[in-house]
Amino acid sequence: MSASEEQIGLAAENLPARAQIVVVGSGAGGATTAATLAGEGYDVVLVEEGPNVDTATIDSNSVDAIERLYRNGGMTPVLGNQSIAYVEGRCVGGSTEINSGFWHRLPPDCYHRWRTDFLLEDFGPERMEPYFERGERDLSVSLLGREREPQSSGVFRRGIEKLGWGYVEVPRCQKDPSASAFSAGAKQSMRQTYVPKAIASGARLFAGVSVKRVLHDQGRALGIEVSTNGNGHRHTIRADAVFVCGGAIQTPALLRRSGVKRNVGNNLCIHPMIKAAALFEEDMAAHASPLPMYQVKEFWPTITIGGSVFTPGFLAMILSDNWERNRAMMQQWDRMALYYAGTRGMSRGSIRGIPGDNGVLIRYDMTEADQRNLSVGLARLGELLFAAGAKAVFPSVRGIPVLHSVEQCRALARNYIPTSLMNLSTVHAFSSCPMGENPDFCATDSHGRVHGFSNLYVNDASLIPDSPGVNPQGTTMAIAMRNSENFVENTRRAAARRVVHPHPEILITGAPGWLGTRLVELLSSERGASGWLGRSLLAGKRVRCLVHPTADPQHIDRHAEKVEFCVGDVADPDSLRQFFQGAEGALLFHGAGIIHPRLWTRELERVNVTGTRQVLDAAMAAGIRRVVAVSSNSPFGNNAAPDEVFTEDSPYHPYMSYGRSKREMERLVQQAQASGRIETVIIRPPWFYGPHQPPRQTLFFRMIKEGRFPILGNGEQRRSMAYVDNICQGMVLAATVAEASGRAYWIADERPYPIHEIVATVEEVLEEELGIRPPAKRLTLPSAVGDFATAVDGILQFAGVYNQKVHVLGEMNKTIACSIARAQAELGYQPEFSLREGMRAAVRWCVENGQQI
Amino acid sequence: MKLGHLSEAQEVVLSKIAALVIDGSSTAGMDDAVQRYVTRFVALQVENIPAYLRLPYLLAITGFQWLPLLRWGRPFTHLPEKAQRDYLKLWSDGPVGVTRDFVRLIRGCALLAYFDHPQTRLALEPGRGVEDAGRDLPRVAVR
Repeated sequence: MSASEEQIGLAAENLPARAQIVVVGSGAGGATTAATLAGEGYDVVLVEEGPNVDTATIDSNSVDAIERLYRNGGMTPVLGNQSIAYVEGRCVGGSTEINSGFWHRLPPDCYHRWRTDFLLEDFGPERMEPYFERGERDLSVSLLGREREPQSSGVFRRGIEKLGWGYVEVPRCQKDPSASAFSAGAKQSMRQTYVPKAIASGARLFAGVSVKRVLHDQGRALGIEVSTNGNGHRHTIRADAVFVCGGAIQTPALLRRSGVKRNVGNNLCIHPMIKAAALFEEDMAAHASPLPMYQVKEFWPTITIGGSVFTPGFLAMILSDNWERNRAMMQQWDRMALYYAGTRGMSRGSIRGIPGDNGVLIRYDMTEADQRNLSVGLARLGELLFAAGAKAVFPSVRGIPVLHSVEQCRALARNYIPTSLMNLSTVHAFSSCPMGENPDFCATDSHGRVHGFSNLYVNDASLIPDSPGVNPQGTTMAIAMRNSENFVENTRRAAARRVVHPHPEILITGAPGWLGTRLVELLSSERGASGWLGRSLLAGKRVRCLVHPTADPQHIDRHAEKVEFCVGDVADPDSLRQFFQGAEGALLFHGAGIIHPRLWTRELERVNVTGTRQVLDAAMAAGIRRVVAVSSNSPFGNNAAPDEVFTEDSPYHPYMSYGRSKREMERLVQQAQASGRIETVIIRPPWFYGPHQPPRQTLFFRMIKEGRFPILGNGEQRRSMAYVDNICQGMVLAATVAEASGRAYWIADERPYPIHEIVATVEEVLEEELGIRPPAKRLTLPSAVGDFATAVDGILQFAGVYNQKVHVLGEMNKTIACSIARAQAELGYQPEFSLREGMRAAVRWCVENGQQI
Repeated sequence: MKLGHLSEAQEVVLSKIAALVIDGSSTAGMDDAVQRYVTRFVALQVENIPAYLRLPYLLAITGFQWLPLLRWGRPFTHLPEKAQRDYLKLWSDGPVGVTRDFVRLIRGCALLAYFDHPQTRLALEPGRGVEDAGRDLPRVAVR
C-alpha cells in the first residue's frame, strides 16, 4: 500500500469550509482515527502541519530527512534541571516516518494500574486485543529471526546470553523484515498504510496546514482555525466533531492555545535515554545492517537496554561530548555500534504555549530516581557490551570519554552520574492529556472526549495515562481505533434515538446522571412488578430522557427497548421543544442540575436556575401533567444544633452559591404550581450514595479505606443520607400520589447518622465485602478546620470560583439533618435501605463496575 | 536580516566554529562544498530552534564573535587559529553550562552533517582502508 507524493494529499488552497469530522495530525493517532472514521462513511478532513514527503524514497536518518521530516530540525528541547533533546516527526505520517518502527503491545500491568489510578473504564486486555491484532496485521508486524540478525545485534545477544539476562526480539512494522532499516518503503509507517487507507475511504488530506486554535463555544467544538504554511492565509473549517491528534506535545499546546486547559499539558511522561558507542574487534558493518533487534528485559520496567540506529554522523554525535579525546575513534567507525539505556521517567513534565507564537515550552525535571536509573542502566549496558566482547565503551557523558572494564562500569552504578553531565534524549512522550474518569488528573473521559465538551476529542499518545515503559506506537494506535469505534457507536446510537416515539409517558432530565440513571434502571427493571414501584404503575412505561451532549448514556443504554434519548440541554429551548414533543399528559422528573461546577459558580445559575425556568416553561407549553423537581438540603443551610432536624416548614437559609441556586429553583417550581398550568412536587434529598455514583463518591470510600477521611471535631455532627433507591422511591411516590401536588418533601434514609457512625459503617462494610481492614487510627482534625474551609469557600465563591474539595471540607463539621415524617405520612414513603445495606450495595456496585476503591 | 534569522556575519562565525570542531583548523582542510553543506545545515538547525530560545542563541553568536575584543582586541573570526582554538575551548569546556550548551549544539550538528555527507560517507565505505579514508578525511579521521 505504498503511496507516492503525487497520489495523496490536496493543495492547501482547496481547504473546505466545513466537514463532518476534522482530524488534526496524521501520525499514529491521527492517521488511525481518520482511516477508521472515513472507513465508516464519515466525511473526514485530515490536516497535517508538516510537508507531504514521500518517505519511502528517502533515508529517514539522513541529514536531508532531519531537515525535512523532523520538527525543529530535530531540535526540540525539553527544559528542566537538565535539558533533554526530544525528537518527533513533522510531516505526513508524523513520528512513524522517522522512528524505528518497533511494535509493542501494552504491558499487562498497565491495564490494572490505569483502571485504578485514572479510573479508566472499558479498558482491559480482552477489550484491546482485537485492536492490537488489527494494527499488527495492517502494519505487517513481524520478527526478523535469529538467522538474519545483523552483526551488531548478534554480538549484543551473545553478551546478554553470557550474562544470563532476559531479553526479547522486538517486532517491527516492516514488510520485508530482512530489508535494511533504510530500504525504501520497507517500514510500514502511517504514510504507507493508514493515510492511504483513509484517503481511499474518502478522507481529504491537507499537508502544510498549521492549526492555530480549536474554535468552541459552551462545551461544543465548532471547528478549527488554520493557516497555510505557504502563504500564511487564515482559514476556518467548521466541523461536527474535532479530533486533536498532534502528539503528546502539540496536542496539549493546541488545546491550551484554544483555552482548553483543565488537566491539559500537566502530566507529561517521557522515557529519557542515554547512548553509548562500543568498539569491537570485528567488523560491525552497523551502517548497512537493519535496525537493532533485541531489548534487555532483565531490568524492565525501570530500565530498558537496546541497540540504536547507526550512521557515522550519529556515532560522531555520541563521541562529541568528549570529542577532543575521542575524535580519533572515527577511524574505527566500522568496528563500532551504538546502544542505549533508557528509563521509565519518574517525573511529570508540563507543556505550555508561548504567547504570540505557536511555540511550545516543554518542562521536565529529572528526579533522583531517574538519575539513579540512567546511571545503573549505563553501567549495565557497559557490562553487557564487555561481555559481548567490546574493547571499549564510549558513553555520551561529558568527562567520561571511555570505559575500559566492567569494574569501571559498575562504579557508575555505585556513584551516580550527575544528570548535568549526561547527554540525554528521548523519542517517547505521552500522557499530557490523560484519559479516564478521575477528575483530578484526566483531561478526557475514558474514550478520549475532552471533559466538558460534547464533540472535542483527543486521540493520540497524549491519552496514555502514564508511562507504559515501551515504545507507545502500538498502544497509541490501539487506543485510537477503540476510541474511534466508540465514537461511531455513540453517534449512531444517539442518531437512532433522536427518532422519538409519538407519546412518551415519562420524561426525565439529567438521566445519564447518577440519580436519573438509577431511576431509569428501576423503572425498566423486573422489580417494577412488585413493591412500591409496582403499586405506582410507572414501571414499564415509555421513557424519554434528555441527554446532555457531553454526557455518555452508556448505563441507560441497556434498557434500549423502553427508553429513548433526546440529545439536548436544559438551557437550550430548541432542544427542550423537541424533548417535550408529543408528551402531553406525561410525568416529568426534573433531575438535571449541577452540584459541583468545574470552576465557575455561574454554571450553577445557568443550569439550576435558567435551566429549570426553561424546562418549566417548555413543560407547561407541552401540557405536562406533573413535574417532580429534585432540589437539595442546601437551600436550608445547616442545622443550628446537632439534635435539630429540618422539616418542610423550616425557613430558607441557603448555603453558598449552590444553595442559592436551588432555593431559586424551588421558587420557580412554586410559581409554576401557582400558575395552575402544571402540578409540581419538590423532592429534597440530602447527601446520597449508591449505584452509578461518580468517582468523587468512590473517593470517599477510598479515603476511609486508607484512613484519610477527615473527621472534624468529635464526629458527633449528624448527616442525613439517602441511598439512591430510597430517593427513587420518594420521586416515584411524589409523581403518583395525587395529594402531593404543590408539596415539598425531605427524602432520606430513616434517620440522620453521626459522622463517626457513617465512617464506622463504611469501614465495616469494606472489611466484610472486600476483606479490607482500614487503619485503626482515623484522621481527626479540629472542627476549626471546617470553619476555616468554609471561610475560604465563601471568599472563593464571592469571587465566582468553586473548589469542590474546599467546599466539601467546609461542610464536614456541620450538622445537616432532616425529618422524613411528612413523606412517610403523606406519600407512604418507607426507606427500604439502611445505611449499612446501602453502603454494602454501593461498594458491590463499585467493584462490579471497575471503580477501584 | 530578518528577525530570528542568521545574518551573514553570524553564519561566518558558525562556519569557523564548525570547521574548528571537525577539522581542528578554521583556515584549511575541508572541501569547500562540504564546508558549505555543513555550515548550511548548522545554520538551518539554529534557525529551527524554537523562537523563544533562538533569539538568545543569535545574541550568543554575536557575543561569541565580539567578546575576544576585550582580550585580543579583535573579534573571533579575525583571531589567529591557536587563539580561536583556545577561545572555543574556553566556551566548550568552561565552567558555565550555557556556554557549553552553546558549543554543544553547533558541534553536534556540524559533526552529524559532516560525517553523514555523501562525500564523507563514500570515503568511509567498507573496502576502503583507513589510509584511503584518511586521504579524504585528512584532519578528522587520521589525526
